[in-house]
Amino acid sequence: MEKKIPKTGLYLCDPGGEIGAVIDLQILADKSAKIKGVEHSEVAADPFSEDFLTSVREKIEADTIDRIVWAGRFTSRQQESLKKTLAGINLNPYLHEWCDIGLYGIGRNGDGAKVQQQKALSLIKMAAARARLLQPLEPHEIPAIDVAVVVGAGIAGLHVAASFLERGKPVHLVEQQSGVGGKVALLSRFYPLQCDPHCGLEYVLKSLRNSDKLTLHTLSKPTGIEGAAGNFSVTVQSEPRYVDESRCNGCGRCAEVCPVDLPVFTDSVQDEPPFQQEKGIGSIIRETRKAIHPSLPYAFPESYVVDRQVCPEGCSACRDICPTKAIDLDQVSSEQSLRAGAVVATTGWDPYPLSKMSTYFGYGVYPNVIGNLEMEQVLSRMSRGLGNPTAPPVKNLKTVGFVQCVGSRNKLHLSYCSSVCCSATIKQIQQLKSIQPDVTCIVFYQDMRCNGFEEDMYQALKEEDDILFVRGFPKITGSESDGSQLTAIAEDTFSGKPVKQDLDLLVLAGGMQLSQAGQDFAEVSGLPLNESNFLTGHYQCYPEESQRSGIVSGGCARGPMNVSQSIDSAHRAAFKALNFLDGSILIKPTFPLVDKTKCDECKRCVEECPFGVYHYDEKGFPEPDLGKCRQCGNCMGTCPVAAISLNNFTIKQLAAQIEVLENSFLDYEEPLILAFLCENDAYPAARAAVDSGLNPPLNAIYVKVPCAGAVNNAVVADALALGIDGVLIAGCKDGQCHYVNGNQLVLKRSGDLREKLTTMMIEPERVRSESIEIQEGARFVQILEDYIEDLKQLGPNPFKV
Amino acid sequence: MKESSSSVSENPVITGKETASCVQCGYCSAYCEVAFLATDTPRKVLRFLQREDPQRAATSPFLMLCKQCQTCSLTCPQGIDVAGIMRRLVRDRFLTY
Repeated sequence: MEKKIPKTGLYLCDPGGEIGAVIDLQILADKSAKIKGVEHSEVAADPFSEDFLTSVREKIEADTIDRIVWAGRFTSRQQESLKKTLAGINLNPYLHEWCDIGLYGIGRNGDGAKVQQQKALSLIKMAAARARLLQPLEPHEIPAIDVAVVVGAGIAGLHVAASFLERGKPVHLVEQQSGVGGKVALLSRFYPLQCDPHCGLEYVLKSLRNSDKLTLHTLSKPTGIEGAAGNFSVTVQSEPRYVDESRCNGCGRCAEVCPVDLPVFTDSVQDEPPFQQEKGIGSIIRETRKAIHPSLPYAFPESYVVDRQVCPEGCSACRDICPTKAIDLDQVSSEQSLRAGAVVATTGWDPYPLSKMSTYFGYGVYPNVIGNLEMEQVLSRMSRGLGNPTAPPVKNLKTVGFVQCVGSRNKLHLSYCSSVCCSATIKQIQQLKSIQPDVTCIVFYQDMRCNGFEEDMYQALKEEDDILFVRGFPKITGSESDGSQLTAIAEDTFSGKPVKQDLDLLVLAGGMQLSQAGQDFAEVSGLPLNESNFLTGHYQCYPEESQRSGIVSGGCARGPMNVSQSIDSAHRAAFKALNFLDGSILIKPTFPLVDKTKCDECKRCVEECPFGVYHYDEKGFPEPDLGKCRQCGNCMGTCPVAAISLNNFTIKQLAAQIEVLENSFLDYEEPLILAFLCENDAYPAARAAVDSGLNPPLNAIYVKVPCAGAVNNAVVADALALGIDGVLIAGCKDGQCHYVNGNQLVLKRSGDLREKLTTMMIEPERVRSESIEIQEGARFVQILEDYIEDLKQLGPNPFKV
Repeated sequence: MKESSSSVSENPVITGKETASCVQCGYCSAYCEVAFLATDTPRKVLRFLQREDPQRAATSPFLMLCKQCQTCSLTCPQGIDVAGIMRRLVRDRFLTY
């Protein structure tokens, strides 16, 4: 194909007359017409008028111009509108270049108009240089599977699955227990409405029960997640139920003949029983169950399940009696690979092991000390008229103590607040009082944190006479031979006086931590946990997303939440995941390309990509997985041989811009700064500086970059070798980067750069990196001014002409 | 060190900063064997220090009861060395008065 010579059209737009008040736009247009590649240049009075647009159309149709540089201030909506209008006559949206002259304060500062006239020309030259190298680009479409895998069938997972089914998307629901419901199935009541959680579970199960698009994998867990958004391959390992789900009708005849008696809430597949907060400790619940039993914790699927590990050898009583011949005691575990477009982690929480605090409150030492999850079961039994199930039975439940923050808000245990325990305790007291009105409750707390509407529950309880709130933690001692008579001594920290109280039962409000399943998920998916050891995306900006596109998390896998917050989070996660379930994923064409003729396979990009995008092709070259890529350009910045470029933001384009950058508009002594500004924070800060009436020094030229980490050392060295006095790289503050740690990568690479500059006889101080927040316009100007002062001390760049 | 000549109020051995992380939860008092024998509890002594009232902390009757059993330091959820603070307050008191 014949190589086309680029023909640029240049339009100077200044409808407000701001820039025209300082510099002569017509002269600028005339001078710009002489720039290489510029075929047409004019001052456009109103770039949105029909006449103007018609003339542009005619020029494009006549092939006078094939790309446009727009000089002036355009909002992003105006840019989109122009792109869309001209796309109608086949001008690719990536053949526009925007040069915001006003961003430099040129329109504000009347002095030295000559400098500004020249600077404006310099800026346009740079824009034209970049425009010459623009390429038409089209979005990249990758086929995607419309199936979702949801890991964890607690309340959050069920809601996620229901959302997908509502939209007609097939769902694989992977649950490690034999039934759905998770922790919610173990609760006695929801707050604040005091509903029965089984009702809440039934509500969401309604849409799941009759769906042929739901595949429920019980006793299963993911052991591998390969691939990227739209095309995951999830390996799932399933333990056998020993009961054929299609035949079992749940009649329960098998359980009648089963000779085994086990404590009720144990599931041998799990190491840690879900209800008893810890195995072997605090096991005060007297109920038992059989080796063959309905699904736990909630009886969906309705089929029974056999806990084979506790079956007596050779026993087949259940199989012999089953009227539907549903039982097959020879089933073996299986592994299958599920194809999915998105994966949702709703792996939930585990209670903090209370035995770690047994020296304080005697959990596992005194029989009448229980965790709050165990209290839920006590209340559930009592409310159903089944009596108090504790062992030894607490017959005369007169005084019940509650201790808050057990394991939470403690630097030796969990430093964070588990956020639901205060309201959960209030809820438990409400229910206990409704069952047994004469009971006295005493709550030992540090701060009652009942957020939002939950405060009303707290205030209502405070008004009751026999509910006592003591601000201070108790020391618990047990008397009697078995320690069943408990005494609490605490300091009421408001009065400084001791409080001494005998207790019949003590309930510990244990903390919440990421479930073991959640930790396993993090390991399997290669996702990092945050400092509190929960799954997370960017805590505020994309909380449900993760560092792997297509994998989202919801519910308590993200942090301590109550049931309603958990459902909220589940719906948000489902909404985010739906983007990947539409049959195909449209990828912006601005993804990275690896120049394999330059690449020396050093693997730096593979290591530094924050999202693990790179894999190796058959020849050993790194290749980005476009489904995973967030297009931040950190690979481009890190490549030691500058072999990686983002489409539409290439190293070549940057080099061309720097090459034409002239310092002639400044005096020789005035340093010229090339500032690479992150488009998330630093670039808007520069805009904010001008908009708030500040005059940033004219010494700086800005280049907008997707992330500070996208600036390659080669580009910096190039700029300095061409005589630019200083290079500023401005990114986000630590921990705020949308691409995890782009700003830190800049610092990490600065060592290499120092070395390189020293060999070039350039002072390493000519490169500076800064963190700027989005509204820090004034600070941005200050940083520039300080830098100019420092550069003046240093003297002009030795390569400056 | 000019410790021996300094007065408690002028030159406190323990600043408010050291006790800033105390949330006044009362663990130290509850687990202290002698907390309720005097008018002050260990929590209160820390409160005086937090409120920049070192004089009152250093002259608290509680200090004479403290047996340095270290339980308060071990139980403190914020990891404050409460017993160490008591010990330094007592030492300062002997040197000052």
